[in-house]
Amino acid sequence: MNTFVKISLIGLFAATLVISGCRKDDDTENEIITTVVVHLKATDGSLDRKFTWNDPDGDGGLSPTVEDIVLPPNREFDAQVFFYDRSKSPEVDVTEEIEKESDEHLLVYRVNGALQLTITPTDSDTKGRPFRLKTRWATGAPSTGSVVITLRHNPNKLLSTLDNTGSVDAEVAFPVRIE
Amino acid sequence: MIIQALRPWGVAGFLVMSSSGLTAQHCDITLRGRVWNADSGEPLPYAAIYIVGTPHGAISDAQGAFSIANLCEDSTYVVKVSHIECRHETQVLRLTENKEFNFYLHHHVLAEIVVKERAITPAPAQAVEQLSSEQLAQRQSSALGEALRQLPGVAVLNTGTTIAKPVIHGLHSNRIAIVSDRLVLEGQQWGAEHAPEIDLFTAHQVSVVKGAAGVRYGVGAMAGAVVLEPKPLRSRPGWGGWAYVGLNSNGFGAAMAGAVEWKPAGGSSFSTRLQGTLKRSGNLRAPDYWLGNTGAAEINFSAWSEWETGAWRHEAALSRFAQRIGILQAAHIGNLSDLRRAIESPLPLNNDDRFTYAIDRPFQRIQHYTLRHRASRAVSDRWKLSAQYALQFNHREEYDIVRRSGSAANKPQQRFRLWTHTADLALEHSPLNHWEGGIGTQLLHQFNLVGRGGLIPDYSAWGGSLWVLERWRHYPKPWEVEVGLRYDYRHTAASTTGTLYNIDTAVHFGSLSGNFGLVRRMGKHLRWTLNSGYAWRPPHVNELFARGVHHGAATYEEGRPDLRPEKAWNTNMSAQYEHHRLQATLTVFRNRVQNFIYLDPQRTLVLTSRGAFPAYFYAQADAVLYGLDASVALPLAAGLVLEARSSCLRAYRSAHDSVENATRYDWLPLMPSDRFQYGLYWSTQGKDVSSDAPGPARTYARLTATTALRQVRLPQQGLLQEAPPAFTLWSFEAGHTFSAQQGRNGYWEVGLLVRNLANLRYREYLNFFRFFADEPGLNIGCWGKRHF
Repeated sequence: MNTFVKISLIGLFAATLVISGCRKDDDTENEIITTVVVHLKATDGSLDRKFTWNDPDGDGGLSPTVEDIVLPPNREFDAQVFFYDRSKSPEVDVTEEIEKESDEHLLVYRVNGALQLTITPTDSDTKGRPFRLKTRWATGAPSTGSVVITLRHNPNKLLSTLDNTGSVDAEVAFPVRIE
Repeated sequence: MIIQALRPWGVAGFLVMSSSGLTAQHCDITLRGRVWNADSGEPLPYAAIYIVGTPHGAISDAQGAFSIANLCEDSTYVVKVSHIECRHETQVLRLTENKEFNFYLHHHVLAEIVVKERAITPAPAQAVEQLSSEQLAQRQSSALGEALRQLPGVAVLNTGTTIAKPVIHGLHSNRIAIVSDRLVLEGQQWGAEHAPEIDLFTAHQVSVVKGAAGVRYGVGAMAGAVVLEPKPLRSRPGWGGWAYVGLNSNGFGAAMAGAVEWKPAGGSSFSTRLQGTLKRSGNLRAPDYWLGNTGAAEINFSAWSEWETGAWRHEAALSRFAQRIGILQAAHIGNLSDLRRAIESPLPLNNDDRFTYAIDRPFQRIQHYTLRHRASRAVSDRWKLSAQYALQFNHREEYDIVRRSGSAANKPQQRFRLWTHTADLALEHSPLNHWEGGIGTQLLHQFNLVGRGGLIPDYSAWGGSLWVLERWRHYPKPWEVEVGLRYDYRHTAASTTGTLYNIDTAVHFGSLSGNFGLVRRMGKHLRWTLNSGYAWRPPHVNELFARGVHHGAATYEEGRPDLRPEKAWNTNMSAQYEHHRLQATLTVFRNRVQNFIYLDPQRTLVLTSRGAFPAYFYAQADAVLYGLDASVALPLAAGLVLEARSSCLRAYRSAHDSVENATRYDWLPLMPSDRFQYGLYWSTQGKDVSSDAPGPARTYARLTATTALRQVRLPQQGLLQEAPPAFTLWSFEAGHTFSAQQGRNGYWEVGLLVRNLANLRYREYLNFFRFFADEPGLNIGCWGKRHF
């Protein structure tokens, strides 16, 4: 009896240990956005270019590389933003996930400096609320400054100001020159 | 015949004989010891200890302790220990040298009994604080850190409401050891948001050793140790156990726990206990709002057996701790501007302001398994050999907020699996020329698998140590001396796979640590201790190799591979006065840490895809921590005691200014502010709350106010320089212990614990989430425990 109790206790424990040790062996996965691409297409067809903010080694390490956005004055452009994770191979297109969950995401654009640029949304999410992955950029007179693009997760889109709601998934600044 | 007649008022007799021989008599020996209830393992108060044929005698106190002074050297004494509820038994003790004794008494039973006499292992010479059995009973369903908050010199480092770590004299994590049932807990203790995996329902005694305890508990115990001891197993054949149910109003939490003990009849040496705990709670509530996603669930199980084969005494234990804890969603921030907004907002941002039991992302899932086998035997009448092997497996998973349709949706974002094997061998002896102690060795192997994208690399470590610890005690001499020496070696190989940031390197450290303690008794009531210890700690893998953004703090942290070990010279002095119900303790301490490892704020920002983060690099400097702890219990009237406690700490490090080429001093961050507790305690005479004795019912109540001052000693640099304002919290606790109905075994304990009585809005400096939300408001907890 004693031996039986002892052996069964040890057996039971060994079993729990083994079972939970091997329960599921899939790896961890971090959601990282290493790369933000702004695709700008002039409505008159005079420009079709992608500008990239890239930090393939993730946080820290090598500094990110940023392309300057150079645009002609007094034009309109159709813009779409793309997000990638290039720390993985092959790279992950995060844009697809964001579009699928458009009601839980929101893009915010902030124009800094003396830059003569207006950005207006051209899309909406699955519930008809702001999403702003696709926008129209209208340039004014020659000027310089920057555009900060922020991707916000789980925003409350019912608020009157949408600039600060939710938490930041990506926030990158592109230097912009209108010349 | 007499025995029969006496049985209801049983008397236990012990015969203590000193070695014979005729010399000049010195009648200043003191016999000390504790009386225990052999069935429950609880201290037995109000036991009468008297020496037949002399006027000497004593009554054991609430802790079962007694002392009888003015006994003569080289005399033969018959010591009788009796208790109103204990049955008659006789035991002859042969005392070859004066020392402290444990007396184990049994209750009214008819079965044959063996009384065990065990010499008491001397308490560490460092300052020690112990949770009273009442305090522990009230807080068994709390986290370890929360339960220790009462003790002077102990603070709590919180990450929200669900994660609590004990802080001893300002230091925590890898600088203190948590020792459960003689095994040092090996989890991911380096992380400030990694709470210790301890189920307080398994603990019977919880004490905190303040000061360098590295010789006793290994390199982790540089600043102290939290020591948990289980209740001894049943020594009498039959069944026993307890069942517990507790409810909390805040978070609508419930805890259920129970234990079953069994020892077969027929003189078998086997004895066992199975124990289990279930806990569940939902979102907690601050005075003005719900704290979104602060639910928790816990399922624990443990089994413990002991038996004898020949001269060997075996002990085997296994346990499983499993926890799932929600993390305040409002604390999930993406970058520095999110953090700034959160700090500026009086209400938590993005808060799910409602009650739910659901635990959503972000949450942590932790499992800790322990398997332990210990064998010991006497190798001579003075020497005892013991060997222990233990395997611990710690599995921690952290789930962050992710996109539901993404490939990370079902996966944790961080995962740590740590396997620790330890093998201990010790040779201990009872007094030889008044020296008592032992030597021992330990081997350790650790493997930590972090995997892709982890904050720290994978590592494999091995180490060994060799220690010797001796204590000199010779009554009636009022002095005691403790000397300890230990050498530890650690070799750690770290490597990363599959990331762009590659590490493949090995580091090794070895050092001596030492301890010297002095105990001086002055009269019957005053005890002085002085302890000075040299302890060290190798830098941990996270301090050497960490690299990444620390979410929640919005800082970018980078390790330094060339860090040297921390070396601490820790001295503390304490005085304890105890006379009847008047108790006073004062501890002063100074801890000088050479190469203290800390996060140094840089003047640069690190640009990431979520914006710029301030950079913090691990750095080293000399640091000094000093302060005092005091407590006093002053009897006012029958049953009424005024209690007061205080903890004060100052901690700074030297900072070399390369511009001025001078050394400046800067306060250390996250140090507990000065704290004062005062209150009234009232109790009826009667049985101790933890005693098994079916005596008269006993009731106690305690009203306590805790005042924490604002921390004004803050580092000059760094982002987060504001500390929350001072506050005073009120709490009330009460308990009632009574016997089960006539003719049935066991007794009941019921309790009430009310925290934050005034539903005060406050924030704690030592809570990382102080930027995001208030601490929880009023909680009324009630519980009942039935002992069989």
